[in-house]
Amino acid sequence: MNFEIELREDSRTSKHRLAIERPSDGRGGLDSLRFKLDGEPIEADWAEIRPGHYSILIDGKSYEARVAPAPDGTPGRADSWIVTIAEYDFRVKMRDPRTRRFAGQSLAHEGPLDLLAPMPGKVVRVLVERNQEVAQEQGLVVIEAMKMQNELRAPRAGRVTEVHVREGLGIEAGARLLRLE
Amino acid sequence: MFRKILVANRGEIAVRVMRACREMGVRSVAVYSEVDRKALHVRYADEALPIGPAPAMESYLRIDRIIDAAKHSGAEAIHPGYGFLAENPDFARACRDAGIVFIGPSPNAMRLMGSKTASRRLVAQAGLPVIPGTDTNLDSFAEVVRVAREIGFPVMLKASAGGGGKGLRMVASEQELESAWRNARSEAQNAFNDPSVYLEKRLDRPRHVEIQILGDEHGNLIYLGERECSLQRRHQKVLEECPSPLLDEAMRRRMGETAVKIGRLAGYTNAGTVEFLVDRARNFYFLEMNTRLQVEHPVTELVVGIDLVKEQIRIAAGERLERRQEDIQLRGHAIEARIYAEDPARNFFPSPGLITRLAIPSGPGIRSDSGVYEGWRVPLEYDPLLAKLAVWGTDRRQAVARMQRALSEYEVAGPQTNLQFFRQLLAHPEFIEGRIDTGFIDRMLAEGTLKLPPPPELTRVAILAAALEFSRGQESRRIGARANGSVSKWKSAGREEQLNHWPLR
Repeated sequence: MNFEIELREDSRTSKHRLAIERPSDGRGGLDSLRFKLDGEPIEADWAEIRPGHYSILIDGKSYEARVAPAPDGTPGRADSWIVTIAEYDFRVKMRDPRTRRFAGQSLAHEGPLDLLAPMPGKVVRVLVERNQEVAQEQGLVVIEAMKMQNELRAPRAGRVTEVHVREGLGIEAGARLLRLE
Repeated sequence: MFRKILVANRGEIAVRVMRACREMGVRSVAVYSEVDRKALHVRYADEALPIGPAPAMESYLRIDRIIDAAKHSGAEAIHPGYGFLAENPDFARACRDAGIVFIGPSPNAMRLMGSKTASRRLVAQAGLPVIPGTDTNLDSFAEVVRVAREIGFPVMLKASAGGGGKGLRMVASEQELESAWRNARSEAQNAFNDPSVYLEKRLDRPRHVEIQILGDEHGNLIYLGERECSLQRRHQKVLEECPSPLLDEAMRRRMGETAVKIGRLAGYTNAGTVEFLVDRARNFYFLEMNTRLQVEHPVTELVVGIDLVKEQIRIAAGERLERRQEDIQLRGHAIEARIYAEDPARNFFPSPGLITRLAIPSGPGIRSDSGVYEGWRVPLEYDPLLAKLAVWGTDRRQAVARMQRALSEYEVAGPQTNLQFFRQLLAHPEFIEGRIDTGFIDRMLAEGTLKLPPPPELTRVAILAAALEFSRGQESRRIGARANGSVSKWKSAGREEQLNHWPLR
């Protein structure tokens, strides 16, 4: 399988081509895979320490890499990762060129947007009303959890079309708070 | 000496106090809310008593239940830790009325210094430096506007009963004043049950330097060096060090002696901290006093070679200070990082939940003060502090290197944490040089970490790791995938490549 890779670290980005090949007999699991980066085979020894955590030996050097799904990835689809190596966080987006675009890219710019609770807590203030126009970064809801009050802001400008919470309400992580259009 | 002490707190500080008790041969009593039955402090204590439901208002803040627990267990003294009731003079008085020793200052000293406005007034009247602002509460918005105009923007709004950044707002201009005033009052009401706020001038890129003091009940009062706590986010300290990279011996003595004077004005006993802001011209101003053990006390302990909790207990038991001012020497350098369950990718939102994996660094010069364990579910009702990591080195450079090393070993899975944030902070060239101020972290978050670009070979490692994770997801879906299949020739080549680097070939 061939992928286009977009790699970002801090403000630096680069693009790469990655080929993942498995042996023709279709057996062997992770160990049997071959990786080619920009046409060059990656000669490395890897070991999975536990899910999402790899020990990688490459050119005589030892690395520990931890991989987590990126928050902006497409739910249920593995296409965007945060790879942490020492103090560096790499954002690795994998795109299958046949699908034409990075899934997960469209979320912030078009269509209705549901504001979800990032964690369980209590709604202490609702700062907007239904049908109110809001600017990007405008405060929408204040949630209290672990003694901290946190203001959730609008990820983009829009109109509030639905408000699902009221002050004093206890909420679970992922609860829908309101909708922006 | 006491035979039994009740610790009216939870988390890492409760465990910290119980450790001192254990070393002193004193039995410890834990109190716990319904969600804390399996918390580390309950497991660590010699005895434990339930005090109510999860919300702190119904458990850890219930003076009556804690006093009952102390009586029931036969504890002769109560250590309040920090937070919760630690700075509540009513609690100190209730202990005294019940015939139980409160390990801390007298209720009167607490009341005086606990009011930010009264303590400012006290210090200013003694001719000691305070930040320009009001020394009374501002109860009407019109008055807030008048005073803010008078001292000039930017200003800070602060909760009179405050601490820990709650009820505190930086206000850059008059337009922001009204909403800031409303929010600060509501937060202060929530946190301290008192909405009073006052105003202070905001200094330009100040540093936060505080002095640890210690006094017995026989008139002895000394200072134990300083702590630099300029690295703050949302006005909460996240990393502290001792000594401050800013201070020389003369300035340390001036600040220390000022702190002792302030302690004497308040009739202060036991452990306390006098906080100062230091401006660009190295003038220092009294900020407030904390009438309790500080979260960041370990850095002082490491550099001064003292156990502050044991000192607190000895003082409360009526003993005299063993050391005089001239016995206090600072040795080496210590740094502490507060490990929080919070998600830097989501604006540091708290991230409670099950700790599925925990690896704490070890080796020379490392100290861990933890309140959690692998398998513990971090509840959402309380402060998100999981643990404190402190290191000691012979000088600041070595302490920084040691902290970098320790952070590379630290691993927490389950809740999101600020560990990676610390790794980046510790790599920041300006931090390494000690050029810090209270706005440093906000600027770092806004402008990027300024850290050097990664070594180029990490590109390959990062992409390989992502590709492996992707493939693992694919593999687990494939029918008939077997782990004992053939090994990739390229992986074999990678192994041979390792052998080529091996010097014993």
